[in-house]
Amino acid sequence: MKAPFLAFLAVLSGAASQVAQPPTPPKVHSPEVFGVQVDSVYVDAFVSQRRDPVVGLTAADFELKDNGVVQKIDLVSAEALPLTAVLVFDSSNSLAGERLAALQASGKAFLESLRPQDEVSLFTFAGETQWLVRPTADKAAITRALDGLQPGGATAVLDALYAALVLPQTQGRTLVVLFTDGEDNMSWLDWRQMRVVAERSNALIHVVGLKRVEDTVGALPSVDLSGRMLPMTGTPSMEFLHTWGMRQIAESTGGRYWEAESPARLKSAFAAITETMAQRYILSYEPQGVKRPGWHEIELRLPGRTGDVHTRRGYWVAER
Amino acid sequence: MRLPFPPTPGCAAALLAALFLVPSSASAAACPPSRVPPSPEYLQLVTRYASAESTAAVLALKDWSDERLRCDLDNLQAAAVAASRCRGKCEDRVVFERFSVRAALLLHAEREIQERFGAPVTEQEVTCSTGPNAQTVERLAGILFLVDPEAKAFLSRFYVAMARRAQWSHCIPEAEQWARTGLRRFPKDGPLLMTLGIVLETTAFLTLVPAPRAAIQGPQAVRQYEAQTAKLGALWERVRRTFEDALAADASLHEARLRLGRVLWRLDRPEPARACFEEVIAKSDDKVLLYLAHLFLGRIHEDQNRLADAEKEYLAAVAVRPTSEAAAVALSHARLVLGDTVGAREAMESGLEQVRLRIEGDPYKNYPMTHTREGQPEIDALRKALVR
Repeated sequence: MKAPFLAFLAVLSGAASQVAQPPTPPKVHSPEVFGVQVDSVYVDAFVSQRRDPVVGLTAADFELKDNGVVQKIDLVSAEALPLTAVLVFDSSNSLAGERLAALQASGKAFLESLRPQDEVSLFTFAGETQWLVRPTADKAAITRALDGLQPGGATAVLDALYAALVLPQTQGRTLVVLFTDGEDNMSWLDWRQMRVVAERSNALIHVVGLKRVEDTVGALPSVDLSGRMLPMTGTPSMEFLHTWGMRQIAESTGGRYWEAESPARLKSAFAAITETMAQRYILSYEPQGVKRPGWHEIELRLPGRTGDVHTRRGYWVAER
Repeated sequence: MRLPFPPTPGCAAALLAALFLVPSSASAAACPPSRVPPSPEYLQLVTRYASAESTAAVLALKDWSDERLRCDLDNLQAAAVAASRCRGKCEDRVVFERFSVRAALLLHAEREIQERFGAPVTEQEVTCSTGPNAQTVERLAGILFLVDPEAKAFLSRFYVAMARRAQWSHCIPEAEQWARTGLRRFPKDGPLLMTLGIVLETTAFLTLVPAPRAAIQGPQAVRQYEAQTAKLGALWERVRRTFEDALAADASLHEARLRLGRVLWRLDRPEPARACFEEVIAKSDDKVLLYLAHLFLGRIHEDQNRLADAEKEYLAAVAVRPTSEAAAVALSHARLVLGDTVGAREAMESGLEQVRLRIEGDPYKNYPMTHTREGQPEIDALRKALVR
């Protein structure tokens, strides 16, 4: 029988004792992106103060509530958990030229920042999605695929992100790094649907956007009522749905939307993601005093300390 | 002002033609009247176009002087007016037995396409415009009305073809101009109304959507939000009315019904939208329309939490079009929401595999431009029909 809704998330099956004693590497079972077992919950968090990361915190510094019930938490070493980075790169026509070169260089630099045991998978998208490389520790395979990228077609970001969350069967932490330089103009899914999928996956999603106001804004110019194209000049003070929606999706998983002002700045956006990954806290707990199936709202704070906590808003447990 | 064509009232063809046929005083003064227009050179050029040398003729038109052309058009126009007044086989009527106005019109239209419509490139800046050949086409259309009893059928097809050809090049304002020019002559023409509806739908689709109101802060941003939201709402309403007009003119236009349904869905009117899709599924045998109707109907079910019905429609869409990624995503997502993670993964993986095997495009991905690719083949068909 099918479970009534999405299965979930940042949850590893297996006893909590296996993961509660850092730095001993935990024995990780197969926490698929949409698995159904929920013995232990892992919460991936980033703490900042005035945009600077706050490091050196212990489990005792945090208070975590699962559906309003305070839980006993442990801190897990990020080093101990395997990581799968899923790269989801825009290869639409607007990327032709220096943008593509900058993306390729940034992607390669990002690969170099990973540990040898970390796995990487590569999706590209234009009007449609291609799963170019399945999860592998062979970084050279990803490099070759990046070198072969050819721009062409429209932009279906959300459908590609969906594929990237559903298809790879990953172990441990899943980091999705999505790059796009334009408006989504081809996806079947909308941002609301995609946010639900993202919230209920176990992936941490970072989105890198490349600003393009001065040109055709992803080939989606504004059009006035007489049908004339209105050039986009200057920065509009109003935010558009695409950027806002991508930010919502990223933040719902505890990730961030990074906007690069120019192709030259892409590399630093990717580097910032790598840096924050090393500064994240992984908290583990076995949910106590809460009903298992259904949506679990997570509330994570630092009682007695100042700092902004960035983490996913919750997780979903399907009925077994 | 972008519009090259003078506005025309919806009146009788002759009056309409007369409105287009008034030559400028400058050209009337400069051009000596000819008893047997057009000039041999222009006649030869148009004859070449109508024969197997259309490409060469379109190219040769580049070097044609405006003065010579204006002279030929003025004389043809005078002959056409005279021919429309004479009864039986008069001399002015004979002019149009050896000179094909249809061919001349198509020749200038193809020159306009070559000069003013760029090659379609996705996500790159589009540079399109309207040139003098568009005005020449309109003068020739007026002449055609006077001398060709079947001008309406020809011109109706022609305007639809030009609008679609312009849209295929991503020349959206130009596509709207061609559709509206045709509609000034034939305001109740179903295919033309549908073509205009598609152009307007694309225009609305391309208009940036603001973030939700709750996310907008600051008085300037709020003003921008309100203006953009009002603009979008008005655009979608115009699209809806245009498709409704098309269906009122010709209820057998299944594509107009499908698109009306999609617009109603965007306007948050799911029940009438659902009726549109169900009617298309019941009455159309066009595979592209069936595929899209199943897909769009599935979305209505999904939005209203009838997930099993949604899955059924998405499966039907996949069955019609197994190589469509959009249907694969839709099916996979419906299954995921149903809790079938394995089925969701299978649908997605199989969808991506199928896309690699595909030769033709996904109609969902081409939806804003669907059928615009028929513009050039239709112009080719009109040209080939000249020879027969």
